[in-house]
Amino acid sequence: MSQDLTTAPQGAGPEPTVGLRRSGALRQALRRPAIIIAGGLFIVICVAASLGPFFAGDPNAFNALERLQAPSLAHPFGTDNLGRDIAVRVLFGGRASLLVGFAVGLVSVAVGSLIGIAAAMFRPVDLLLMRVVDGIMSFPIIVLALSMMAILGPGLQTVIISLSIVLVPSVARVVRGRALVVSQLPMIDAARMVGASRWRIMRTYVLAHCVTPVLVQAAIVFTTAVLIESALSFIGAGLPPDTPSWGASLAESRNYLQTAWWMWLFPGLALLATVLSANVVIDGVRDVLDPRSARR
Amino acid sequence: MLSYIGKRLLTLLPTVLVPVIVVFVIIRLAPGDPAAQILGDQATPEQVADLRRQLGLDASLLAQFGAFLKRLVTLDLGESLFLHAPVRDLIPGYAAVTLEIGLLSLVLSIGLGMAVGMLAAFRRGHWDGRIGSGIGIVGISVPQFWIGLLLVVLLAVQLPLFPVSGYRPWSEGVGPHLQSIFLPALTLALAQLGIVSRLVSSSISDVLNEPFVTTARSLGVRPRRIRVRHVMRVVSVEILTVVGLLLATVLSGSVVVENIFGIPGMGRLLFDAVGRRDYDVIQGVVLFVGLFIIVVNLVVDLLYAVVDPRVRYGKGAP
Repeated sequence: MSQDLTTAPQGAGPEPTVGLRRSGALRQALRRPAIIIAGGLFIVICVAASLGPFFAGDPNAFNALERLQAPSLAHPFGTDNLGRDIAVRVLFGGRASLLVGFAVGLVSVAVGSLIGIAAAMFRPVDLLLMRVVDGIMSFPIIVLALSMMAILGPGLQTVIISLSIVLVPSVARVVRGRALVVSQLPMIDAARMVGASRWRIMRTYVLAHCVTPVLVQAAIVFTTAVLIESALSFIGAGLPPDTPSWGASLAESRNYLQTAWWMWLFPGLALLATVLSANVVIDGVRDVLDPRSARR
Repeated sequence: MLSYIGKRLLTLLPTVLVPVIVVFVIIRLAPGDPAAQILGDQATPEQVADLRRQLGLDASLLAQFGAFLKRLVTLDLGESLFLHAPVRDLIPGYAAVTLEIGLLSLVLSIGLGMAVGMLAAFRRGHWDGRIGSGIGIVGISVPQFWIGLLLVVLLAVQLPLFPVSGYRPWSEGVGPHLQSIFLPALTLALAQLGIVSRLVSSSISDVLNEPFVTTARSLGVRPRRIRVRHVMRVVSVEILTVVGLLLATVLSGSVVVENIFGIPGMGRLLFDAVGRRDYDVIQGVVLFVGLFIIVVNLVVDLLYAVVDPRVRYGKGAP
């Protein structure tokens, strides 16, 4: 996906210049209805999950008289087996899931970029770092995450830590690959000739060219983290039991599959809508950045 | 050929070593004493000290690591503190169940994924192609356990065709056995449908842009013949990659699915070990999964070398 940007300056023919393509990317992306709809949905979910809990009331308030109520005006998503309002719990669950997703995304970008740059700058470290990265990446995410949860104990921080350890390598790999390609460009020789230090070259030229691929990778890390967190919470090895989360809500619905469809429908739809809208945006942005990858 | 195998083995080694070392280090660095955590609040200091000695936690970190590596090489994986059996003897029984379900799901997901992927790529821009790529992106976005719940609601509760959960071994009859593993396998297959169909359709699109396809088209070869003889022939090699990728995840997808359907497989073994902090079992499962991935990758690489001789000489990326 990086080939346009890297071959264009070497005079590959009628390709537009780097600057033109990049400045137009955002406008091109915003012209696609799929990206607008999915992006809008994602923003709505983020706003609802971050502000909603302040207005929604207590997610753990239970009412024995209102157990397993079907959706109604008072409880738009119905109530669960303890009479708790599912709509409120979906909002709080969203806050937990998005918190995990964004935190893991941020940690992965920060740590992954450092590792990737280190690997690209210092070749002796490269071999060791990349072997570690390969080792973690080829291993099933959930097995490693679950093993780490066993050792670190359940909790919000431990979920974020173990998912970060598992997902950092993917960012490191992207940054390293990009940094190695960019280091070969003539502009790097030029910068070196006018006396820019190695560190300065890395910071101002190489890192700047990593921004787009890193953002795309961070978004993928976000969706993976949200999915794995919900799976861990579903089997009871993720967030602590008193924290409302989509995974835990779905686990509770398992005893009421036959009687209370609203218990398994709404938390699942919320999860699907979050990940799907993010994935549609990722796909769209990739297509815009590299029209040749417009395939799926 | 032999040097090729050796080279591949060397690059694959981290796959098993890195996760095992990561888990080893985290167990030792984690806050709190594993021995005290295993025994719970009621334990006396003497009991904790005993268990520490038994687990070898009283030695220095380096000595522990040395002893650990020595055990690894001899494939002595320690003993389960709760199941009172050597981990090495525990794993095969659980792994067999998981593998069987995994292989069934592999057949289903490759079949369905190829169909959806071909639809998405060959009918690109048409309404049915859009449905194909739609299934692909929904497929990678939908959580595996939700698919499992939906299938239970549809095919076990509304239409009671399959049991809601529970595993029946072969000894209870072929029919009940297959019935008990079908929904778990279908769940895994549908969860992988997105990945498979997107890989298939993207590799078809790549091939469709190749000059030889343009040549065939300009020579007047019928589109159907181009698809079958020229495009799918190249793509079929890529399917090998997909099979390897899925086989490697066969053991991991099982954690959630085995939890939903109550299947006594590797995922269940790991999950139970996690709940009891049975560290030797956790280490054993991580090691076994890593070894399995290495073997699968090696076999896939070798098949590549057989199918495509360029691979043997270091050109063409496998």
